[in-house]
This record gives sequence, C-alpha cells and structure tokens, in this order.
Amino acid sequence: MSRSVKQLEQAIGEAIDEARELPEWVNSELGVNQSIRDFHDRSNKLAFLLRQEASDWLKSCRSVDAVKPRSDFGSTRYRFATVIMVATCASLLAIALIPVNISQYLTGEPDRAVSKGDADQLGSVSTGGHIQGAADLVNNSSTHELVAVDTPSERAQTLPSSIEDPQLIFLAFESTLNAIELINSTLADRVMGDPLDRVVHQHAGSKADAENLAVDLEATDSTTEKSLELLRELKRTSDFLAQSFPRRTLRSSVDSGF
Amino acid sequence: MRLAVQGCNDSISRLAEYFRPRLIHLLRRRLSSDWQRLDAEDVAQVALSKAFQHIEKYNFQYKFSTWLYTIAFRVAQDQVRQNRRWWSFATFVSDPASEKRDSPGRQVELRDSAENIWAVAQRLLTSDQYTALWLRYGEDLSVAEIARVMSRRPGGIRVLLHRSRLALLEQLERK
Repeated sequence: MSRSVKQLEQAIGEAIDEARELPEWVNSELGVNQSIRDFHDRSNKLAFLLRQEASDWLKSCRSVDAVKPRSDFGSTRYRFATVIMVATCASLLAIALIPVNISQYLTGEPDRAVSKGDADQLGSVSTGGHIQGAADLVNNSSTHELVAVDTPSERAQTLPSSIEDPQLIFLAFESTLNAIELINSTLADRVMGDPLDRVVHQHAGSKADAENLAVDLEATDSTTEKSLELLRELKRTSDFLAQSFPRRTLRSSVDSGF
Repeated sequence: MRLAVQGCNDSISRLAEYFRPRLIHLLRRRLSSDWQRLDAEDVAQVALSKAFQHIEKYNFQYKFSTWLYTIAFRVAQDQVRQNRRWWSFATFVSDPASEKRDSPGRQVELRDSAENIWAVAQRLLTSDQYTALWLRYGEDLSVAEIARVMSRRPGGIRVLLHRSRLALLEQLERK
C-alpha cells in the first residue's frame, strides 16, 4: 500500500522527535524516493541544530536579561500597577472632595481650599480621562468665584475658622489623604522595582517634581513614555491633593476640639 | 535531588539557580500573547517557591524538570485567570506593542541571536509550538512528559512538533 508524502514526513518527524528507529515501510521508501530522503536529511540536521544551539540561545537570553535593567516600566506589570494607582487616587480624590463640598454647604463659606490654578492643573493632567470627573467636580463644586492662593500655608489660613459641625468628616478626610500618600509610596517601592526606587530616592531630598523624575526615567528606558505619562498624572494628582488641602489647620482644629 | 527533597538548602539553591533562567525563558515565550503578558520572572519565582514548598510531594518516577514546568504552567494559568479583567483594562489604557518595539534589550536580543535557529523559531512559531519544541530539544523532555507539562495529549504534542518542523524547514530552505 502506498503512503502519501505527508504520512511519510510525519512518520520521519515522529521518529526523530522520539529518537527511535524509522519504521520499515519508511526505510523502504527512503531508498526509492529522493524527496523523502531529502526531507529525512534536513529534519535530522534541524534536530541536530536545535539541540546544538539550545544552550547558546539560553545563554544569549540570559545575557540580554542581564544587560536589560530590571526595569518593568514598559511591562504590563508596570502599566497595570500605574493604572491601578491612578484609578485609586482618582477615586480617593473624588471621595475626598465630598466632605469639602459638605463643609462648604454646612458653613456657607466660599470655597477657598481649592484654587483655580490647581483646578486647571488637575484638568490639564487628566488626559487619560481617569480624573476628569474629579476635576469637573472641583470646578462645579463651588458657585462662588475661586480665589487663587499660592502656597499650602496660605490656603490653610484661608480655611474658615467657624467650622463646628463636620469634625468626623475632617478626620475621615485626613485619613484619606494619609492613605493616598501611603498607597503612593508603597506602590512606588514595591511594584515599580529598583530603578524607580533609586530615582525616587535620588530626588526625594531635593523635592524633585514629576518632570525631573520623568527626565531621569526617560534616560533609563525610551519605551517608558506611556508609563511615565501615567506616572506624571499620579504625581500631579497626589501633589495636588497634598498641597490643596489645609491639613495642618484641620489637624489643629480637630485637636483643639474646634 | 534527594538532598533537596530532604530539605538541604544548598541543593535547593542550586536547583533554583539552574532552573530559574530556563523557567523564565520558557514562560516569557509562553506568556507573550496579548493581555496574557504577565511578568515571566514573577511567575517563575512563584513556581519555584511553590515547588520547593511542596518538594516532599515530588515523585522520583518523573524528571524534576517535568514536575517543575507543570507547576510553572499551572501557576501561569492561574495568574492569567486571576488578572484577566485587570490586564484587559491595562492594555486598553496603554499600548502593549510598544513594550518590545525599540527596546534596547530587544534590539540586542535580535542582533545577537540573528543566526540562532531558536531565534528563527521564536519569531516563526506560535507560543505552543515553540514551547513544545523547546521542551523537546532544549530541555530534552519526552513527548509524554511534554504532554504532561502542557496538559495536552501526546498526539497533540506530536502534531505541534511536526508543524514546527515543517515551518522551520520551510524557512531554512528560503534562506
């Protein structure tokens, strides 16, 4: 019974893969069929090459890994972590703005805690759309004209001193800010890996902003652009949160029982 | 191996040192498709720690590599399953294709490995085909062992190997 070329090739391949002798019917075909003999020879050569070059290939993969910095900036793990951070901060921001609005409602005071400049900045960094809703909330939260103030301490001074009711809300609000800072630092250390950790620590003393951080990171790996964009969003969002709210005044107000 | 099973730390370290790069290499290719692009190093690390935590369950009837790779593949599947929604969200936000493109490491990899048959295989074959081929010729596992690692039938592995061979022979012939 004559066998098809396909069957012969498969039988040859299986024999090579399983390191066993060729069946008799294949052997007999090899003697008369030149193309099958060629296929057998080439398959044997290929198997030899695959075995011979496997160790070199593994070594080259390892050396590439060694050359490549342990940078996960371009990896999904990094993107995933960054997205989660931004989403978490955006959610916390939105939640944190609720007590601010409630306090405005209760006190009837104009919103001096959030400056127009900060609101614009927040809007400008929300290119991904993650925190656009929060920015809109900031912009829409006050029916009064926003007053621009420059520093966190000035903002703190502008807090109305007559707040009496929402003590618990402020406590919760302060905890929220602490949680944001904790999430920011923990994820930066744990998820982003050594290179970012190093860069962050280099700049921690000099209070480097997100742009300086970005310059160093871009030099580290050119493929990190998208991840850096998310990182900038995160940094600006958390900076905005940290600077925009009069934590010290609130703390002292809470400690003194308003 | 017996020392490792008895809890010898030195033996365990040597085994981990030997298998870690192999696991990473295998998993990197295995997990390279779309949103399944997990971090192979993390998966390898989890697989190694799971294997050594339960090393007393290792059956000497089988090769250690078969056992370890089976664990690694299951860990990878679990991770993919757990993170499926998050990965799709992450890849929706950013472009996964940019990861490999223009990466200096990737360029070095391509340049250095231009002549290696495995580089051709990596480029040409599907993830399953490459995995089966690597386990057979890179790790010297038998077809039955590969089937166990990849949770497939031996017949399916034979087909994968055969198709890989045809694709590689065709490519070599073109050269």
